[in-house]
Amino acid sequence: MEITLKNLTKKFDDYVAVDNLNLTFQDGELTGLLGPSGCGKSTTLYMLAGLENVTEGEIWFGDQDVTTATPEVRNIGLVFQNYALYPHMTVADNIAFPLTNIKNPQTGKRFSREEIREEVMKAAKLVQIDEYMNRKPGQLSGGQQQRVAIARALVKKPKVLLLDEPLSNLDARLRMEMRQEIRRIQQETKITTVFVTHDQEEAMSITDRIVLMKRGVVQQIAPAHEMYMDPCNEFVASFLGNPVISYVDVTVHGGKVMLKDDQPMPLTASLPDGSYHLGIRPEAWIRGDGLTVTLHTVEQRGQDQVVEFELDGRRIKALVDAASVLSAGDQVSFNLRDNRCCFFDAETGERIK
Amino acid sequence: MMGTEKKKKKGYKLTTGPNRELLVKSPKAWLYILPPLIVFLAFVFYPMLSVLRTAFYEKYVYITSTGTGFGLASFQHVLKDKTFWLACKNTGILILVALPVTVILSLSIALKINSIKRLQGFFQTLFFTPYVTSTVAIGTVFYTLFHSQHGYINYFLSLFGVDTINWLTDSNTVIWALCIFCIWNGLAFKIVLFLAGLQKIDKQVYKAAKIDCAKPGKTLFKITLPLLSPTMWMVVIVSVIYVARTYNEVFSLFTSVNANTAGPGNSAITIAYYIYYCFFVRNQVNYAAAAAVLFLLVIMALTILQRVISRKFVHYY
Amino acid sequence: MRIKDTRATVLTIIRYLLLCIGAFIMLFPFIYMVLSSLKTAYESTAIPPVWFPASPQWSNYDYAWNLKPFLLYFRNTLIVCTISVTGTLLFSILGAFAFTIYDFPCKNFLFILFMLTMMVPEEMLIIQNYETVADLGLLNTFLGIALPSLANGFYIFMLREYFTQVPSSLFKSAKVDCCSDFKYLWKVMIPMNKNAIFTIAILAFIGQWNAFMWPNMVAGNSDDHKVITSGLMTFRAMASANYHYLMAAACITVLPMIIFYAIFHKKIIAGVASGGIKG
Repeated sequence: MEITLKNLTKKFDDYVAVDNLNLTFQDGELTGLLGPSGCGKSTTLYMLAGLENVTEGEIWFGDQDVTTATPEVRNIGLVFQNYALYPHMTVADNIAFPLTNIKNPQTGKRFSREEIREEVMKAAKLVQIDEYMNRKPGQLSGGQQQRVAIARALVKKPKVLLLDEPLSNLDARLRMEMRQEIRRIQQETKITTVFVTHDQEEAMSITDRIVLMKRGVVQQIAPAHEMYMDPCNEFVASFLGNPVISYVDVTVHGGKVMLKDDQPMPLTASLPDGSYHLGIRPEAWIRGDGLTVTLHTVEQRGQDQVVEFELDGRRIKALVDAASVLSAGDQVSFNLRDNRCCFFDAETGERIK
Repeated sequence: MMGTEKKKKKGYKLTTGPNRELLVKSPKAWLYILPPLIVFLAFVFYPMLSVLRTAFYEKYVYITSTGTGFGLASFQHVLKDKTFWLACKNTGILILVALPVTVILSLSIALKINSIKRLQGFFQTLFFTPYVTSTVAIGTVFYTLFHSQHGYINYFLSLFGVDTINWLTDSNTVIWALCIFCIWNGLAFKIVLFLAGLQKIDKQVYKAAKIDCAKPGKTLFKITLPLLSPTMWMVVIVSVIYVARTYNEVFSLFTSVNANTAGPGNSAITIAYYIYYCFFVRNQVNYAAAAAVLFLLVIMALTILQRVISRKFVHYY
Repeated sequence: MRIKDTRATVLTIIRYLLLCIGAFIMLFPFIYMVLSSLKTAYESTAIPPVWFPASPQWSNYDYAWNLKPFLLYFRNTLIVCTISVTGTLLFSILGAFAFTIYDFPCKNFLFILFMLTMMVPEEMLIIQNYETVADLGLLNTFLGIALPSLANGFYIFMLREYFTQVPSSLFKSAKVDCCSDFKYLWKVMIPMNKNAIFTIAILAFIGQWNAFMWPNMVAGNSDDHKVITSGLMTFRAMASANYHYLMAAACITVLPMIIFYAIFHKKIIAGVASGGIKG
């Protein structure tokens, strides 16, 4: 089921939370709605769910306009950030609850007890919670509760699965485990899934495509790798990647790239002459003979080192392999890989190619 | 570490409690616990024991405050007293009729208040007003409202073609006047408690129910009420005991200071009033004590019964 | 407007309407009380009802105020309440503190004993308490009225719940700083639980102000110690057919509490709700 948003806008009095969204969530894909707090991603999700009214615009599920439809008729599953399980019901009853409210789409009649039990077991096995069917949510761990929430969302076989920051309440290791689980479940069911998160690593690791938002406006829509390598503006470039991308002011003259004090950078650019912001990914630096710098700090990470030095008054972070251990104060020479560098307009932050 | 040496405190030791909290073992504890303890001993435990003893007296002479004998004569007398059974019957009606009506009404009102977005506090304040006003004052108001000829309630009923009901003077209907007043009086407390319980429920659960395609009626009975059941239960327990002790309502509706009876022929008497009546009006202290002991037994039985029921119907989570 | 919005708006209006009607019915006795207190004798007992007085008879209040010494009754009630609230606070704080900080023999047993008092009905105790108070020579005194009310397990229980929520690490650090137990109570426990203590004071005040059975038994015969609730009942015996005077007297009785409620209603409701949740 494809989801199409046409000119979707949400205003709270004068505050514009979501500004004229036009995009399509592809059928069968896991799309990440990514962005910082307050960028409108959760609001968009709740409008998709029908729990938030649309101020302007339309929402289409396939070829049906669901803009004013109540949540009950949209046939969606929603996993809340805090799971919103029914605390007084067992796991089995929680998962079964949606089936007790709707009619069996095949027979047109209410689900029978056996049918419910069968579907519930299927959903429980899918999320691997089938050993805890008689427990109440209060007796489950966070990860287990989340599985129950996912099972409950999926049991009525919705066309769309929505997840609102489902991993933010879990500890770090569980988060890694669960996001793979979510990916696995989505692949098995092939259900169109929209996944809201503020964690760029999460979004990059499991989604087919990312929609990056800032203050209600879509910045870029692309698969993770493409968005990382080919950001369309400084915000996108800064949001993805860890350690974060570094910027310096440069001028391009005749294809040569230079810093302010005419210090040359080990980089060429086929751009018109002028001033630019140069974004340099940490992994762009390779040991070479281009630019010599003095290291301020060195952070050992086992598999590599993160070094920091100054260029033109800006702090630059670089990733260096751990073959030879460096320390603060060392003088090191670097070259730059130009496919890990991006040029941006010095004023607007837009990407220049 | 310290400049001055303090004297080693005798018997003062620090220890750790079950929740890893710091506890002090010291006789000073008694300094703190004795004042309330003395008051309790004097005005709760001692009276309990004394009343227990008095109940077993066979004869009691009021003037000399002495009792003689040891046996069940007082109990027999009380159990044979028609007035006592009338009191039991009336109290029973209050518990079995007035209380459920109050609970259902207050629950409905609390649900309605919970369903509106603004002015929740405003309505809550309005509905809670009866709690802070003295029962006898409002009882006086109801006394005028229930009057056979001049009361507004009869007038209101006459608009529907109902004949005059002698609420306060007909021994058959006094209990219903009492019921109505008790219902009105009991709403405030329950509304506040139900509202507090409703507000404790995680709002997201309702959103999840919407996504799960549950209709409003289903949400109410399968989600809201079960989640509210611990609160409901607690309200019922407290209210049963409170209703069983109805006294102020009876006094203020029926008793003119001279006659001291609870309505014509004591027809509106409740157990609590019976105890007061035996003790203060008839000066039959041993009978009052016997009735009080029976009353205590009833309350204990109710409490045990409630524990049993709670296991079956209350959804704890 | 979208159809969904219109339906929702209509439903909301109906809800508010129902609540307004419910509130009116609930408050009707009060409205009636105030209106009737300003009617003439004829108006107050007329059927069909005369809803509004033709002209407000403020003189009813004069009459009621002078027929029985309400000012004296207010003073008496205030004195009793002050004693009762002060004593209740004192004993509740001391008791709750003891159960929180100290470990002493029979601690759990005593706690259960205090809790059981919540179950024992007052009616059972008055029989002996009356004799006790009489023997102590406290009949017809303020102390006699207030004293039994100090034995209230509910407030000890409620306060202990709040006290145990103060992190034990505070007490531990206080001990490291050589703080005495009493100083800890005075400087840490009480200030940190100001809200709860204030709520208990309010609830105890309301309870004692509106109490009737016991104060009436102990001091119901002579005016000098009679409380306001007894006073109203006595007034009623004298003026039972004169509804307008009766309602004026009822208004006078109820007014102080209404004012008190208007000021403190948030705290009062919160206190009752939290007492209910914890109880």
